[in-house]
Amino acid sequence: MLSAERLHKRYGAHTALHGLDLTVRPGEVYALLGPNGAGKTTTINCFLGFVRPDGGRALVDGRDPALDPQGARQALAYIPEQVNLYGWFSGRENLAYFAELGGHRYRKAELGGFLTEAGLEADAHDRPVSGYSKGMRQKVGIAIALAKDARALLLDEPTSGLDPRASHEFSELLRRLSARKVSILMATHDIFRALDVANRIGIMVGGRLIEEMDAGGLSAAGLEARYLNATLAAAPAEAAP
Amino acid sequence: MIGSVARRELALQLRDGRLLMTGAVLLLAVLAATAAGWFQFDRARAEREHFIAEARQQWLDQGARHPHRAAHFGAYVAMPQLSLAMFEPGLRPFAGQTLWLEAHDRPAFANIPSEDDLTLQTGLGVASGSAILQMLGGLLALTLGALAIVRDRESGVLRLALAQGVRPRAWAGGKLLGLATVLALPLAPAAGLALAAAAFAAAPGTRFDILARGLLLLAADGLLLLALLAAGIAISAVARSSRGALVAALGLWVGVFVLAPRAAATLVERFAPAPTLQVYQKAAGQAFDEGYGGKPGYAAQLKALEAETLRRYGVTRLDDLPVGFSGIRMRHMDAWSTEVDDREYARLLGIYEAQARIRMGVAVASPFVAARSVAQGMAGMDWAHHRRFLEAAEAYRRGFGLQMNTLLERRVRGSRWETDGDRSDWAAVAPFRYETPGVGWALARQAGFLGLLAAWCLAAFAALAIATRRLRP
Amino acid sequence: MRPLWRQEARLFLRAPGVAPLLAVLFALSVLGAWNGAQRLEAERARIAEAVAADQAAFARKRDQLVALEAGRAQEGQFGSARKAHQAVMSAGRPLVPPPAELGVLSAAEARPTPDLLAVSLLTRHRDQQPTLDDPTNRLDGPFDLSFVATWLAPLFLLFLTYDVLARDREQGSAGLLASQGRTLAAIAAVRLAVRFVAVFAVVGAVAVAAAVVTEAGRASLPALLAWLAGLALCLGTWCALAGAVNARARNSASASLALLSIWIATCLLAPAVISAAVGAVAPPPDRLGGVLAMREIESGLNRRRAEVTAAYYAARPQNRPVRQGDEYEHYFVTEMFPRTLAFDAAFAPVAAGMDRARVRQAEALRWASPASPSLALKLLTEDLAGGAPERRVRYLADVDAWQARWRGHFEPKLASMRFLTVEDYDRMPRFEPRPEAAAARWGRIVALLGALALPLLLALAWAWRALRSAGPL
Repeated sequence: MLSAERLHKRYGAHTALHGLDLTVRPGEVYALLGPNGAGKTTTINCFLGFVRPDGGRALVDGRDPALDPQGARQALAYIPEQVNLYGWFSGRENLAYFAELGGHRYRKAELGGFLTEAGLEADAHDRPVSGYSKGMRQKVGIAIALAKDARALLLDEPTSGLDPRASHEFSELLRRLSARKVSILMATHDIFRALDVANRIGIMVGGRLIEEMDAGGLSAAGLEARYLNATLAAAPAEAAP
Repeated sequence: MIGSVARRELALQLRDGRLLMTGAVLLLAVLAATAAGWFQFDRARAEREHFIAEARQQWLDQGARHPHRAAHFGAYVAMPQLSLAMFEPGLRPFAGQTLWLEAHDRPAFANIPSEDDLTLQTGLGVASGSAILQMLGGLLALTLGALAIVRDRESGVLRLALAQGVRPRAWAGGKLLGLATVLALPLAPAAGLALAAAAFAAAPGTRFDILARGLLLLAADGLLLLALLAAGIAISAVARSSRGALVAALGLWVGVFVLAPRAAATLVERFAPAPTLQVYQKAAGQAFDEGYGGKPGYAAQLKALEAETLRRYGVTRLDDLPVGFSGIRMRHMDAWSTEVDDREYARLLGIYEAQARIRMGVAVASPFVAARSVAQGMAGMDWAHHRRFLEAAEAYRRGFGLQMNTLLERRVRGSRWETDGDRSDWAAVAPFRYETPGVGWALARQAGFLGLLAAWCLAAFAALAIATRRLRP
Repeated sequence: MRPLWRQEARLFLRAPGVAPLLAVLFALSVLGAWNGAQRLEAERARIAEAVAADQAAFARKRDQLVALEAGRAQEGQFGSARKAHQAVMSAGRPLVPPPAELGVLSAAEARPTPDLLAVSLLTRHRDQQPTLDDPTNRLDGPFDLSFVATWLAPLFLLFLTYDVLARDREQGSAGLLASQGRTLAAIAAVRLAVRFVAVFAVVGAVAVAAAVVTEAGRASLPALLAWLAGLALCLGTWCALAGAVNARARNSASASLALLSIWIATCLLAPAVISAAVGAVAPPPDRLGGVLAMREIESGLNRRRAEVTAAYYAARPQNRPVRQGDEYEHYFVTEMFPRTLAFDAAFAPVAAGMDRARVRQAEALRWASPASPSLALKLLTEDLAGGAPERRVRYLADVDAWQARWRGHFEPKLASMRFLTVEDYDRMPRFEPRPEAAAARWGRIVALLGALALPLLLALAWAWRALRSAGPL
């Protein structure tokens, strides 16, 4: 569903992606771990068509976002680290707006259903978003993704800043989506959450996928050790005292 | 999709109290300026009517005097104004509305209000409803446009919106439509009320013409604002920050509204200056005295005229003529000075044309110059309307000059000069009548600027289309 | 504080966009100064040409007279050098006021005082100064230093100061800044001062250079210092306003919009509102009323012309004609000249009333100018460039005094039709205008500096209050 083939991207002298190969199958939750500047967000931007790769290609349901950005975006949903919305609109109005941008028109009750499914309390649905907490905005972002009914979901640090309960609810939601055969690519620093929801985990350093593993059977301590080893090995000079 | 985005944009802007307040202020400013314009228009009309009546009465009551001195006492005429002048006073403060028609000289505008009224030289010329609509409406259009996309880019909304798969051009088009509606909300009622007021105050029989002119005027303003809005959104599409977008938009506004009109005046003065009246009269005087194109100067012509008149009446001395030679001489003198003047005036018209071309060139860079020209033309307050009035007044002046010379020819004998005309002679001079031309005439003179405005609009749309071809989040 | 100055100056000058912006301001200032210099040069050339032509004409007449008296020449029907009605009656002598000290600052064409009047024995009140120029060129006013300093420099300062603190808040660096030991108020003050110095230096330097180059020794240091003080007060007000707005603004877009709103209010709307209010409180001279009064007086005198002539000679029996003269001379001397004197006596109060109205308007504008620092600076600039109505009134009083002496010199021979002598030519009164009294002139300038200081003090108080409590969030 989502695949990167020898994806290469440079920003001036800095190489953000070094021939990245990656595949996320239908129903799979793939967690991309890595330090800051590893290329996780660039990878997501390539799938979204926000960044045009210098080499290789990203494919979303067989469509290349560099050639057909709208076609690729139709097939996926996206939740950024900070879900910023129109403050003067309520959660429901924001959802209706973004859903329409995605080509879906829903009735008021259906919109409420998505918001509730995303975990937003009913009494907040019609309040202006300017009064929402970060977690509440994140839930509207999830509702937008749900309403889009996409076959792939891209998540960029989705649980950053969420409280443990909200993070848990989020994990539950990802599992439900996975069960509906939605392919999920999640860039994150959160080892615990990756282990909690992902089927497969990739570790990226310096634009390269250093290691890829099945999440089953891994412990948090074990994953952390492999992560540290991978990142230290890839950047010894940076890690030296 | 465009409609949906436009509706949301409209709703968003309406919930933002700042816009409501700005719109309300703009609406009030346009209405207040139009109301003030109404009073000024009404006062000017009353002044003009009083002036015309008084000046006519003074012409009749001037007492017995020599017909040529009566021609020097002259007549005063005043240019009628369309009621749209309350919205767009155009050149009124800088041209005046009266002309003194005196023997020998082509009339030129004098008694110019801005030379007497210091308040007309104090600001940046935003005292009329039309100027506020164009300048402040333009500023609002540019700033609204400049913030339209970049704010979403800064907040991350753009990222989320694009990820939904919306086509960037459709999204930007929706923004354009929504913001155009937002702009129209305060400005359309203001413009509509101004137009209604102008139609209400229109002279009998001219209402249809006023409405047609008014609609064209508003269409030009609409094109201006739409072009600026699209240009603003195009800036917003490429700007990385709202700060940068605003600075670029304000820079554009300063260039289009403040610098360009002055640049036009400076270029005109540098490359196609009109002669001063003294220079014009000196050139005409020289041609009059010395002749041109094989035609002899006045002194030689006078000698020939004397010989020809003596021959025609079969006498040898001017004193023996059965008619007044003074009248014949004055008539001939006026005919020759008219011929000379027509030649100089044709040159002057060439200079005006060159000036208009320079302004047209500046309007390529500034749609405001074009929109203001169209507005003034439709309100009947541009230089073309003033010049047409000048030409009609000149034709009238020549007519009554001829009447005075004929009177002199009939009243004196031989080479005598002194004789007096009386009230019945003055009454024989018909009062000056002038009709402002119709909308078609005005449109023909402003078609170039109207075309430029349309081109600006298309160019701004094209810039927006290019800027949003691959919209970056 | 010194290191902070250096750091902030370096930061400012290295910021992208600052150098181009200052370069554009410099270029516009130079262009404005160049236009002012061009106008000055053209006006001086026109005056020099008129003075030279006048001197040559009188020298020619004197030579003719010498030749006539020596029997070396014969007198024609026209152009006699010894008949006063032909030699001097309508010969307009160019009268020039004392030069303005800073004329280069303004290129205003519609200044109420033309720096050249051609005055003869006849009335000066019929001189209307008509123009052939397309008034569209005067619509926006000239592009001169007055325009740059008054309207553009505040805009440039706005571009440079709108984000002195707001940008740090926006980028999240305000907290870091505030935690380094200096208050945000001190940092903002230094940043504003750096920007003030940059803009003031650019515009001020160009103005000083232009004054020194064009006025060549005539530019008075006090006048130049007064103008620079006015510029500093105006720019200082904008810096203080930028400080006050930045103290609260959460981001640079809001700060720029707030400052832009203040610019619109004080530079665009306030002058329009002030103009309307001043127009109501101190209406401009009633020019059309003046024209009607002029024609009424003329007609009345024409109807009573025999009576007027009789009254003139009854009051001045020594001026009774000593010879008959032809019908032209008879008319000009015994009819037109007495009527001219009677006309001037009757019209003088009307003209004085119009001049008083101009002065009243100027005073009212000065009173209202604290509401718009740009308007106050414009009035100050125009005053120093020679455009104050008070200067006109003073000049016209000198012109009238000279005309009385001129008439006194030639009247006995004109009215009595005695022939002029060479001595009459050699002892002609000279026009020696008095410079305006320093107290009156500096009273106006100090009042305008006060009008500029008042908004500065208010803005400083606001900025002080706001910046004292300005925080990083």
